[in-house]
Amino acid sequence: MLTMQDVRKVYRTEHVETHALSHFSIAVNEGEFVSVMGPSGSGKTTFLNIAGLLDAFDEGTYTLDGVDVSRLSDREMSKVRNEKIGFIFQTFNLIPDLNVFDNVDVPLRYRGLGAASRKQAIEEALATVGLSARYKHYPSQLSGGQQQRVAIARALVGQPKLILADEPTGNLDSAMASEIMDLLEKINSSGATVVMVTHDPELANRASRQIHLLDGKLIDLAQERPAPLYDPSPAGQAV
Amino acid sequence: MEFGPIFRSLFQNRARTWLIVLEIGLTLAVVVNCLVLIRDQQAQIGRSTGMDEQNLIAVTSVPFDPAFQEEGYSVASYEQDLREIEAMPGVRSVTSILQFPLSGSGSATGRRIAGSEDQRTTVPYFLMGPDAIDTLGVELVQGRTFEPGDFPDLHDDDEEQAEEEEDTDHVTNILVTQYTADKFFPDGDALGKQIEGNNNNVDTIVGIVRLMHNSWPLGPDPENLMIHPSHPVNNRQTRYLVRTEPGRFDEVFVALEPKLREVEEGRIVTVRSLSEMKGNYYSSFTSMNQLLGWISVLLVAVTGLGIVGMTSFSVTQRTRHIGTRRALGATRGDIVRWFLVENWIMTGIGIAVGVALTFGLNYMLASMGGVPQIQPPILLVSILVMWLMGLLAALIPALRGSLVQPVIATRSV
Repeated sequence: MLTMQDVRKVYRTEHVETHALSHFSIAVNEGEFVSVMGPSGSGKTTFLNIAGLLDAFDEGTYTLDGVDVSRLSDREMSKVRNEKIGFIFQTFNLIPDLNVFDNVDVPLRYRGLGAASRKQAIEEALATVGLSARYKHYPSQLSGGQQQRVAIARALVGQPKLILADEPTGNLDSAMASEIMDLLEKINSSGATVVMVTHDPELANRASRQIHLLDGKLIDLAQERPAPLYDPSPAGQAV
Repeated sequence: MEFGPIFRSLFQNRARTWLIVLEIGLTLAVVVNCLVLIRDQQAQIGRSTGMDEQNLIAVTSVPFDPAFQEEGYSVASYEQDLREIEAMPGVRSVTSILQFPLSGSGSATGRRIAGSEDQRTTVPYFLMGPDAIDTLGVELVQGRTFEPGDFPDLHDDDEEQAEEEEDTDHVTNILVTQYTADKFFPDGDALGKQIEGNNNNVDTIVGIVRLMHNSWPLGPDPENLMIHPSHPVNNRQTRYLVRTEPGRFDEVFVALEPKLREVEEGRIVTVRSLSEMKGNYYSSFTSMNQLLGWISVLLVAVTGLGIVGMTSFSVTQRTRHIGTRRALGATRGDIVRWFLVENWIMTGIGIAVGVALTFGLNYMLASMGGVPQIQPPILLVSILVMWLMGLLAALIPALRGSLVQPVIATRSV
């Protein structure tokens, strides 16, 4: 689904060069649920931005759903974002002037679909997140958890193959966070690939695969993890 | 197009929306009424006065030589002036006149149908010498022009005798405009009829002029006028109207003063074109029109800048939303279109409000007197200008908004 090879991203200011991603390579298979962890500044969001075609990279190649997206024009990237990717943001990023229905409608309008098919898709998406009754509400009239559910409905309404979630539970309490994770698992089980950045190890563990970033590189935790003092396996118990 | 969501979102930002709507509405109302006023005044300035204005020269002779106080001197000088001017190359005809038309300075008197008990109505008049009609260039539609017998004896300057005549019945053959003729005789049979003044002076209408303006073209009855035959000469001031041949105005204009000073040195001769006098008379109108024009331009500019400011603020305020839209698939064109459509809707509502305010303001001003009715072409052109102004004012901030990168969506606040 998503393959990056030797991707490099450097942020430059007048005096400083920051290597956000350095020789970064990763492959995410179709249907996977991948959680991305790492300390602040490790490059998680940069990876997500590049994966979502929100930001350019300096070197390397990136193939999304079999298409090399490294050299697409701005307009072509907009089309790919619209059709293949669904975004879920930490701060929800709902448009406050639009009601729930119109917020979920945003990606569909840019796809140029007719009113009837858009309406049906929006109703289905809102039903999936359990907010059918709130379609006329404005974001300010909803709780944080409800707002994030609207954002999830917006992300999945266009039936994208890839869902990118940037700390989707970062602004929610644990009960709400668990609800959101349930939804992401539901979306993943319906066939969409989910890549989620999170700080929460418990939520990360619910993904089918966890990757860790440090200083812009993917690290293999198995090599760095110290040997357990207690081996719970039957072999260990036998010692 | 996102008309529905944009329309609904505008109602979520009522203060901003109504501010722009009212700004556009008020500007349209003021500008249209200013333009209506300007156009009306321009039409008044540009309308026909009935005279051959372009070829008319006004000459004033003010004597300072004591010789003019001598009996018969002024009259002799006057007769010679007329002869000499008429003989000048390029001069078509010349006449004398007591006060110049279109000058703002003139005379008026009361008249009623002779023998009636009607209330006298005011009629402006000119005292003019021979060749008045040909010199003015006005069109005679009925009757005749003045004949030598219509004029008083130039050499009979016994004022006492003249005053005696004022007190007794005296009949004068006069010319009137069609307007004045119809005013007294609506049935169209004014020719040959008589009107009378305060001292039982009776005027017989011997000719009717299609159109001629009196001394006050901005007054309520600019076409109300009668012309009396006279030799308006005295030892204080004498005025002549000179009509030139077409294309020879400049030549005659330059030659007139030297020629008259050659005839008689002891006087000050002033030469002005009738167009210049008309321009001076209308100068308050012209200045007012310029002021109203500038007010209109400034209002539209200030409204445009207001829209630029509000849209810029809106773009800055919504930078993150623009980034989110870009992340969700909006192209740069979609972002520009979003702001422009939003602006068009606001401008459209503003114009609708403005049209109502325009008519309201017009009604209010008209009831105070002085503003003509709204002319549809002026309203339509103003609406078009406001719409284009709204579009242009929103375009620059909208283009700036389209440059917001989608990555803004994931930046922490």
